[in-house]
Amino acid sequence: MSTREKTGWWIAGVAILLYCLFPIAWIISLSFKGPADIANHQFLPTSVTGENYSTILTGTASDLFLPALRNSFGICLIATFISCVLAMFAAYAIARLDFPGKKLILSTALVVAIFPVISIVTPLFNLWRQIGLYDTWLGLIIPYLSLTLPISIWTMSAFFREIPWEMEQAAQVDGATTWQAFRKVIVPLAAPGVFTTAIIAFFIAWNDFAYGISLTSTSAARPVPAALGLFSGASQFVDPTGSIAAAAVIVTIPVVALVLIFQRRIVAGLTNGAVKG
Amino acid sequence: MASIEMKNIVKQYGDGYPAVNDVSLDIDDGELMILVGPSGCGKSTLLRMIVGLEDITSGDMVIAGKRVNDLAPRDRNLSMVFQNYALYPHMTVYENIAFPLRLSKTPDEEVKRRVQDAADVLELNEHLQRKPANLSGGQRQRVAMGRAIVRQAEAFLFDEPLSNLDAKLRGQMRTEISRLQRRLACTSV
Repeated sequence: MSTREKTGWWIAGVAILLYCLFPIAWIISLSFKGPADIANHQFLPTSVTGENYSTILTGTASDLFLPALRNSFGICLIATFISCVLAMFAAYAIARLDFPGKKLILSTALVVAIFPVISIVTPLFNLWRQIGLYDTWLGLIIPYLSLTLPISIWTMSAFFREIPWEMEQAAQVDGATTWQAFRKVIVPLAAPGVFTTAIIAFFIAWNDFAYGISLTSTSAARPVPAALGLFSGASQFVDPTGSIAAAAVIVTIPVVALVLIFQRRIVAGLTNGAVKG
Repeated sequence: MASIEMKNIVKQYGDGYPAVNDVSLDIDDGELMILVGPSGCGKSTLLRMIVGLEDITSGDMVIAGKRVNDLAPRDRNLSMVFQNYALYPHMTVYENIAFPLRLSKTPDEEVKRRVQDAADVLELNEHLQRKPANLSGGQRQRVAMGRAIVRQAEAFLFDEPLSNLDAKLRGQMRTEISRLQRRLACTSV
């Protein structure tokens, strides 16, 4: 590539990066602006202040925000874990076996995934109140499974299909039972796929708002997106924009870090040397 | 070591196509039997029926005097070298060769001794800690053979072992395989 082409690509890359990251940069700078600054129409705060952060972490909003963080982490992690384990078994069967009802299962998963959440929320609210799941962790984990399972099954069966069938056959000839072949040969090879699926499933659960705000009423189970929607400022006359921005920063940055860590674990071409061609 | 007797073996697929049509063949204990034929004539299918990866539509498969039609591959005590080697990419060469022994819960010192023996025979000693992805075609094939011979199974099956090698290596490996077979005196197909 000539130097001119290279500089052209660089400029395009930087421009796209700026366009994508500018809103995030704005939110970060918003989080450091005091209440008087919020509407100052400038990118940078006139005086950097950490009071938004202290409000949500130790101040008046902290009993809304901190339990919400704990709830979100707990509920999303549990829902992700359950759906990864279930999806692993389902995806293995779908990728390897040909059984009656296979297409039905896949289409049902797709239908569940695209069904509009908001239409289910009211009946679920009534049902959960009656059986006592309202405002509990389990009451959110179950609907979250309906969000995470379909995508987990679809993603994982694509990964499992990539693993050559000869792996299990070689293990069988070597003396392994089906479970041993699965555990010692398939699971290590599928690990990158499982990580990717877990990340995707986690974010789908994390970003949910409809279930979170309708199926909870106290800090017992309210997740972060719902809590952010209920924020009020330091007093009833102050716009909560600053605290919402600070909360958004706190919630986004660990998530970005997690993605970076897991991306390094995904080793491409793990199966390159196993099978010729 | 054991003899393999095939009596009227037939393999028919669901659409009625006879991949293997009434084959009867006796392979003696310690014999090296080579099946040659044009592509699509059923050599691989027959081999996979011997090891148990394909069901036998009709006929009897007798290994060491026992009818094995309904036995799973892991119960037939046979070793196979696949056409594509089928090495475990996440394990080192040592672990690949040791895998069958670890499955039968062999103690560690015994595993080490037998893997070392196999590596000596196949000249794999300097590659033991490497991963399959970093090996050449001939080396991978020798690892696959190591994994097969370390178990001291009743018979060894090679599914087109030379087809993925270049011409010079093919001649070399041909000699090595027959030398190995004579040395181990094992029934090989």
